[in-house]
Amino acid sequence: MADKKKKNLPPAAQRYQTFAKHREVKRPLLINCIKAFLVGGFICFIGQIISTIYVYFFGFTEQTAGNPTVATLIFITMFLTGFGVYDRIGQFAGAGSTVPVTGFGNSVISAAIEHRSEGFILGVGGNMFKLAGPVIVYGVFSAFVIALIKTMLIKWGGI
Amino acid sequence: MKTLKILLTLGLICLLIGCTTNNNTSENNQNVNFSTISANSSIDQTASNQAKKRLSQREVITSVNAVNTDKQMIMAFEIEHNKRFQLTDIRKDIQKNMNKEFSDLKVEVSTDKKLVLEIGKLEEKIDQANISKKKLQKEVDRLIKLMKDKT
Repeated sequence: MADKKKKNLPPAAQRYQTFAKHREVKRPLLINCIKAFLVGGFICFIGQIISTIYVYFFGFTEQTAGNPTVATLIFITMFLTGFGVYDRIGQFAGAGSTVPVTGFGNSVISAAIEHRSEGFILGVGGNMFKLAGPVIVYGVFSAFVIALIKTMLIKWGGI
Repeated sequence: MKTLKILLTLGLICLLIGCTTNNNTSENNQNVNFSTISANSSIDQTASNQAKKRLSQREVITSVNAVNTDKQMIMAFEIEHNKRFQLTDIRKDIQKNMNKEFSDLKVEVSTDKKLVLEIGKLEEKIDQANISKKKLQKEVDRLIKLMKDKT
């Protein structure tokens, strides 16, 4: 696809692209992946600790401990985002800090902080889910599609 | 491109290692973690002792806890960690077996860590005979409710 696009460009632009490609600073893909893996794994490790605490010391089962664990993680992220620590983590780990639920919390809270100056209703309330909205929309939508597929498989496929 | 290749190979290696079935399960685990409740305690626990013995013969199970009243029996067990993918199947199988074996009792089987802990505590209380029959019934009802709780 990239080649097809290139053919439509004028020759000068093509030459510039090859020129830029050679001089571009290469992204350390492998190291980035390892960083994301380690930091993302560490966040999940903390989540597991919290979940185990809920099972051992509070009246939650493994099934029901999920909800309070998520709430706690988002609560912690709120503080980390407010104090500006989560930005540093995000800069270091990339996807490792955005894929876990803490990334979702960060996107909600950072948007809320950013639009604080526009007032509470139209600013904070209106823009809070600016970044996190797509996550909810497509999360719900894909859950719907998967449920549809599962229902069809069970009803007609006989699994 | 090169890093992509390295990543792909790493992923493939991880996948292949994960897929190997370890055949060295010959170490037949005799050390299943369970304690039979002494017969001299005031509340009859022969059914759950029997169930524990039966379950401990299965290789995958690492610990069993069970408590019964006159009408109900609740049990929780833990399995080897690498068998957790088949957890639902194993649980269903055991539930079916236990229903058949103890047809006069209403059996509830769980694999939840919370239930393992709670039933273990209850066992201890029964063993030390510092729980009344009424209280036991109440506790068992509470635990069954906990088992059924999904959200």
